[in-house]
Amino acid sequence: MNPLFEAIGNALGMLFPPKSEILEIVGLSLFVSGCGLILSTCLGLTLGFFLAQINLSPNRFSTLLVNILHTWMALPAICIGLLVYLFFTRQGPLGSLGLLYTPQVMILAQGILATPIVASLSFVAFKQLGKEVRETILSLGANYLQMVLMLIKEARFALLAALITAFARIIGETGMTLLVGGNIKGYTRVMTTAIALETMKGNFELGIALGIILLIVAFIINFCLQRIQTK
Amino acid sequence: MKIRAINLSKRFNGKRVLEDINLEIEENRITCFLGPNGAGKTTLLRILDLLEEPTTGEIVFYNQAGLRLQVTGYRNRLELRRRMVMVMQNPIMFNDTVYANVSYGLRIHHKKNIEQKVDEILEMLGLDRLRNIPARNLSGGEKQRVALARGLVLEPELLFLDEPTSDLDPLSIRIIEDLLPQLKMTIVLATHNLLQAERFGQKIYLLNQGKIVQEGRPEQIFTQPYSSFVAEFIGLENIWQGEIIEENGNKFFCSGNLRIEIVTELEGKVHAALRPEEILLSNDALHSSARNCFLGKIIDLEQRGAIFLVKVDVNGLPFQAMVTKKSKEELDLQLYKSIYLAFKASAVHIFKERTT
Repeated sequence: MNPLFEAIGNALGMLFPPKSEILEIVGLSLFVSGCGLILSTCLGLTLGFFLAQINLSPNRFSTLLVNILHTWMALPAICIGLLVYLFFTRQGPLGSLGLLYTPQVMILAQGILATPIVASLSFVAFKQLGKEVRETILSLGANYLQMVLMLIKEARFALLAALITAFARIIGETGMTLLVGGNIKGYTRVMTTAIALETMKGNFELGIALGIILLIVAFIINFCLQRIQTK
Repeated sequence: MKIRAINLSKRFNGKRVLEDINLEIEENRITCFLGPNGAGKTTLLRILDLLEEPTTGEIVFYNQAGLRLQVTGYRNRLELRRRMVMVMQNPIMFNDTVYANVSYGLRIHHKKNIEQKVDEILEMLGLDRLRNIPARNLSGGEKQRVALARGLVLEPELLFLDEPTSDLDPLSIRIIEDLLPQLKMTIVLATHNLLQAERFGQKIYLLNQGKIVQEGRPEQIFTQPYSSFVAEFIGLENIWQGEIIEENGNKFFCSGNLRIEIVTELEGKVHAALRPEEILLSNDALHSSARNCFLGKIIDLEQRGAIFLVKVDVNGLPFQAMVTKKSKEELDLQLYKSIYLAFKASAVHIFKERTT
């Protein structure tokens, strides 16, 4: 037990004041997941909106699309990682881009993972608004863009919840991020991959320090989500 | 702005909701679509407001100069829609304050003096106290007024109202009904409320099961129904089926044992309708200009406020008459009492059932 307490003590020492190594790792985590969120928001929100639009009067086709979306969501993260890896490895079709083991490809993989979450939650959010809101907006003379913006505004809380849920998913993702990123120190090392590898190497202090931060991040996210869901 | 609908019809999944609709919405008048629930009034309103496409038929819009307006193309339809406003039944409030709701249209059209215009309209509709309250917390009547304010503040040329006062509190009803005649625009009002249609409609289209069964000014519809459906709908209690017989140049309507003298151009099998107000009751046979005078027995007496509804049986045919409370007492009307009833030949409205 003693070595463990010692490790925890050292970990806290790394946090107050925060070591530059830690800041770098946390910063990259937030950057990669943040960009992944932006990517998935653009794709997912659009998908969710159009799905809700064609599902206004449900038919077989739109129900099929919703099923496909849910299947995408069930895809295990590591399979996404595998697919991305095979695409970007040197022998792969996009290998010439040399993007494997870079933050960019991590962002891409996380984006692919998060998109169906954003899409299906925003689909529900828009669908719940109902046909009448759309028509009220249109009957007041809004053009298509104005209608879309107003619908987003009306669904703002549910949409925010969707984004937060997606972010929570990807910031804690380990296996896939490790596979495509490689956990290269100073380049592709994020909180989750660092915790995994450093702890395996016996470098408990770093693992625990990052673990504490990740926990705090997760709690903050969850807290915000709960606050929004009561609105 | 004027609208003409030509041969409109609408089908939803094979179900026929509107058929053979030909009508004209005249400029600066109140046109009323009257009919029971499910008649297709709301669908018709939505089609005219360009929220829904008709299955067949055409809608033509004319501007104030009488020129035909373009309806094809997204831009044109948007332009048109900006001149019209629809207030729906149970309107949706945006998740924001009353002020934000009412100012929405002005904001997206980038108009000026928004605050001034909104405050003016809020006052006109008695909503000024509620200016900064979240619109979703309002009562039904208040929401309806907000929806009305939201539309009126845009100064549209055409206003569509779908059941504007059903299920509302009396204050809201009064505010809205007092406001209607003051509005200087073309108004199309859909309602199942007879009194409202009679009071406001300058032209009424009576709809049933997706078709126009009668159209005309209120006086026409309420005294000369074209079919037993219309007659029943407008509350004409005395409707009978029978045949026309001619004798010595006089025409009679025969149904069962009864012969009623009438005035009409029609012949053969017809329906007859008589408004309860046209029947005179008396204890003695009246020798008067009323060509029809019959002895009957009172089979029902019902008080409705200051009026009594008297049902009289004449040779098996029931007649519904109306008298004031005072008359009831003066004539000493009682159940099973014999009574004379009289009415003019011209008061009986004869029609052939319109099956269309």
